[in-house]
Amino acid sequence: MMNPVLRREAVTTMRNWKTYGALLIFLAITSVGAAFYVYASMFQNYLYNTDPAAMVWLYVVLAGVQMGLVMLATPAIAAGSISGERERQTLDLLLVTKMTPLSIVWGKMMSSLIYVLLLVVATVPVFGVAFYYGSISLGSILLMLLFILVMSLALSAVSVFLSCIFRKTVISIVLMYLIIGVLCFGTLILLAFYALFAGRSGQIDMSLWISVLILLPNPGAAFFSLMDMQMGSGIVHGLLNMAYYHDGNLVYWLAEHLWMAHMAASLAVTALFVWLSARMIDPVREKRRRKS
Amino acid sequence: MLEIKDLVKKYGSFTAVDGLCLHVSQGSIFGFVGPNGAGKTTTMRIMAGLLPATSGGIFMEDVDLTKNPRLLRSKIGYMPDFFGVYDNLKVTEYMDFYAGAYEIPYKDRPALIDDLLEIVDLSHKKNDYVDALSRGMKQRLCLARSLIHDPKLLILDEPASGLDPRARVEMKEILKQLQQMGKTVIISSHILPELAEMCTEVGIIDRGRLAAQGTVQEIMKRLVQKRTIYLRPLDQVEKAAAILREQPSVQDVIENTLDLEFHFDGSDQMLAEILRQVIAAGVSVVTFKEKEGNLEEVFMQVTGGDAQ
Repeated sequence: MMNPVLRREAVTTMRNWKTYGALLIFLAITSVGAAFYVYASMFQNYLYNTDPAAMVWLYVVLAGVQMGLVMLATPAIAAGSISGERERQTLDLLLVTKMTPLSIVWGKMMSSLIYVLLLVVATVPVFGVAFYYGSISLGSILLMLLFILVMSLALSAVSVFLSCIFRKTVISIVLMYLIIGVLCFGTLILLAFYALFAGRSGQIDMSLWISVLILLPNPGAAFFSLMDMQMGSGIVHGLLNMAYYHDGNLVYWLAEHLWMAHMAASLAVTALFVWLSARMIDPVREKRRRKS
Repeated sequence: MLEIKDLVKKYGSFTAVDGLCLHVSQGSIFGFVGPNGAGKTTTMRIMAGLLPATSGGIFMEDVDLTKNPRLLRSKIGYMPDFFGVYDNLKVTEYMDFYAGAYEIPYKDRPALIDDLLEIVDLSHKKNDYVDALSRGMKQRLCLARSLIHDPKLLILDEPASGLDPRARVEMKEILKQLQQMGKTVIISSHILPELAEMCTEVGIIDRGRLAAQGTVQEIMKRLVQKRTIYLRPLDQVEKAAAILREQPSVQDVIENTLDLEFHFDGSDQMLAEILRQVIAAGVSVVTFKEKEGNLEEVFMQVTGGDAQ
């Protein structure tokens, strides 16, 4: 039987004009991003010719735009999931049913993920422009989409958790954007400080471990790590101030596959926050804790 | 049917429910009355599995439901005092959502939803959006929702609040229908005379404790010390009043143009003697009867005059 919360959310979301408005904006931004890149790389050239190598970076631009939009959209969708039920005074009606708190939270998570999936899938045709110039495989695009979905899953898990804690949706949304800001930019600033004051003083391995751990929660760094792998670039290598050699050490492997470590951490964060959210809304949790 | 034993709910040092014991019989409509902050809603939320009790138990067929929340949810239907509805959802979709939440198979849902909407008289609104319904209709829809898993016990927290008189009458009719279907209903309300009309049993809660329980008549008998007697003579109202004022068991004689009322605290024999004396004095009596007290008077007395 389909999760009733997911089923209801799907019906009400698809009836809401805002869904189509957001989808339109999402597609418009991605398409304008693609058009601007094509215009800038083709028609600003003296010979009006195309450099296929430059066009391959269109894929990175599109993926980056999509990643940014998903990071902005996910809290807006998920951070009101439980607090919205409270504000509407429907949470009690849900909690007295046979649904477990875990299935309620899971239904909420899945409904926001499916919405993000809709946004992501809708932009796939825009990637056709990058396909037109070749060099990007379907597998690469699918892997990138999977990465974005996993990241969105973790963000929505934390958002749902915040919406369990705070009664006002707007507080959860603002706090979630702050968290994303800290993850994306705060970790970079921290890494810069570390590189300035401590990074060069220790052993190389130890220094790299700390740098990798600082960058691990950064979705942007993980995204560029994936792009590095797909495009053969070295953006994350530069961030980590890392020499291009491998000695089979775990920390070098992690630095090379930051995106993979980030995805694994995202899944762990998702599991943890789904569990915490279910505990938060469980009306008889207090009693169980006392008994134990 | 339902037995609440020594139920306690504490919020820090504040005790909201203080050793509440209650028995609700099968098939009864039980009125739960008390002033604001007496612990009615807290007790009902514990019964519905929305709050953990600090101690004590809620037993149905000798099973402690507080230790088995899933069983509790299958046996109890709950309607809170305040509730909302979802936007962009039709009446049948709303019911279907809760049917899913109660794990009712897809194939059984259409007939079940039709039946329940029939009971609450919303069949004609089945394709309307729930947020477009009136307050009374939403209240009835919520009642239908609480019946979707065929619970044995219904807990309705102030179902008549905010309804216009017509909607209240409709709600009352539905509750009578539910009683005929064999459901046990616990209902709290601030509309005390209405509870007296509707309920087979009443429990008065004050400061988290049960102050009185029984049928309205039993409680009246036990708690109302002074009975109010109404007398309408054919004429000679003043003479009848003078005779009454001479009686030691009569107080507060109120003399109107055509009739009179007085408080009486003696036995039935003494009351019969008063009537005999009035007639013997040559006063023709048209009506002589005891006025029925109402639950509101009892409520005010039991709760120390706390107004709602």
